[in-house]
Amino acid sequence: MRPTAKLFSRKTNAKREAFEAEAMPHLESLYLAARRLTRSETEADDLVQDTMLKAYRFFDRFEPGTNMRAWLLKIQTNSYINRYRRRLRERAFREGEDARPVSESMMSRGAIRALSNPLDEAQRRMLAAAIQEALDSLNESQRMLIVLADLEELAYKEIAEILGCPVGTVMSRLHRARKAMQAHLIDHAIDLGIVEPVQENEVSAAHDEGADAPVSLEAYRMAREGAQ
Amino acid sequence: MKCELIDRRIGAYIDGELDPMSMLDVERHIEACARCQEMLVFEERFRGLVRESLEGVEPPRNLKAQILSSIDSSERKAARGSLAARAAQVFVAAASLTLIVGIGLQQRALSPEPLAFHEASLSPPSLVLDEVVRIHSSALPADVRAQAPSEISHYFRDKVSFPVQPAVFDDGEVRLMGARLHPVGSRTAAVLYYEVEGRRVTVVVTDRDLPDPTGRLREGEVAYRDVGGYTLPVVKVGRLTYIFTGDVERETLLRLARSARLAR
Repeated sequence: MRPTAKLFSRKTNAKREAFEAEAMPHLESLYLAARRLTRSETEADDLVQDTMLKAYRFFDRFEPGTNMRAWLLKIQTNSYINRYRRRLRERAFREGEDARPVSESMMSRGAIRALSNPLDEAQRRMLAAAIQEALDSLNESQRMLIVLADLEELAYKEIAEILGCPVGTVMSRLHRARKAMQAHLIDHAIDLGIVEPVQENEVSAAHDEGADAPVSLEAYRMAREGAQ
Repeated sequence: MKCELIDRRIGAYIDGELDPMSMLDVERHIEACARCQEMLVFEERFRGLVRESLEGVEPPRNLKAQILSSIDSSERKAARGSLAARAAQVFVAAASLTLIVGIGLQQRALSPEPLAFHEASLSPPSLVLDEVVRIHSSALPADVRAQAPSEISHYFRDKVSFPVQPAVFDDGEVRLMGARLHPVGSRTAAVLYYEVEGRRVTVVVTDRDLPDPTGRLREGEVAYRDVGGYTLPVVKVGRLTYIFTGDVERETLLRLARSARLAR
């Protein structure tokens, strides 16, 4: 019991206790989402504090029996959107949200297989950093989707309610967001040597051979004859 | 069903979010298609990688305590404020808002006038501003007593992560008295003590971004917010925020904040 508790009425104490028991256990979840959204410790700190104070103020509006974590994440996501509305709008404008087509072909089978293989500890660590970068490379609304769906694992219906869009839109946007992340990740994985750039390799090898081979009339003639 | 269609639905399939018929369709296709089996393995692996790479962020240890203490302080405030007092507050807030908007329209181009952050009902209480009020009202002793801005700057040199340039004023009545270090949130801020006609004025300099003026407050503009009976003008200077408060009239504080310059 905290020493200040006796200052408040019984009703206030009951509310405080209920809030501490029901909402506080989700603090870690909220903070994780906030950190991934804001990409900053101080901003995450402020965002979570605002969220919890709002949640406390509107605690009587929570419908018992529904998902408390989803309710808190809704408050937090809305706070985030409101707080950074200007920034979000600017980004959406600049990046032409959802305008970039998602190419399905960029995922080569080689890349898919390489990333499906067991990874050693070092590779895991490198990929973890690459995935964080991939998330940061997304636009705000895509990042929100990945955080809510893949990190917080909310149901599409809950996400749709938070973002105020139809479930079908959640599904298609989430697909885009994941593909964008995968594309970014594959680029990194190639740089890290976890995935081999199969096609590029072959192309450049053929090119190098041609450029570095000593000029040989014999070989040239044979190649020409072969072509005819 | 074609592989491309499966690609588009495989995420929702893993999430268990397809309707039962589509679920069955996707399942049937995958059973018969080596390519899509590989895709499924990859997508599941990717999902796991994302989760494990993005997890593992712990909230600061004092976050919970901070939240509970601001809940307590908001309850205390609510318990203290009678209905009449609150009605008066709303009236004053509404009146000042209109006044400011009015002035803003006429004079903004000439001299930056204070902007209220938000309507009180919409904005969350700013914890940073609450802390500034606490710092001022607790009147802790200065770590360094000095009247020269350069001495104060020097004092902070190795103690905070940014160069501290005290605010100076044209008004000869304002005297710099001293300074101290104080945590604001998880960061260390510079607290500057001034005296105006025998009354205390505190200026807190922090590199913490205030939640409210983000996007609204531009460099050099003065915004203010009333917290717990105090008026807190705020000025952004580069990445630093100067927050004023004191035991003087609101008009005096706003005037000070508007006329503040940085000591070199």
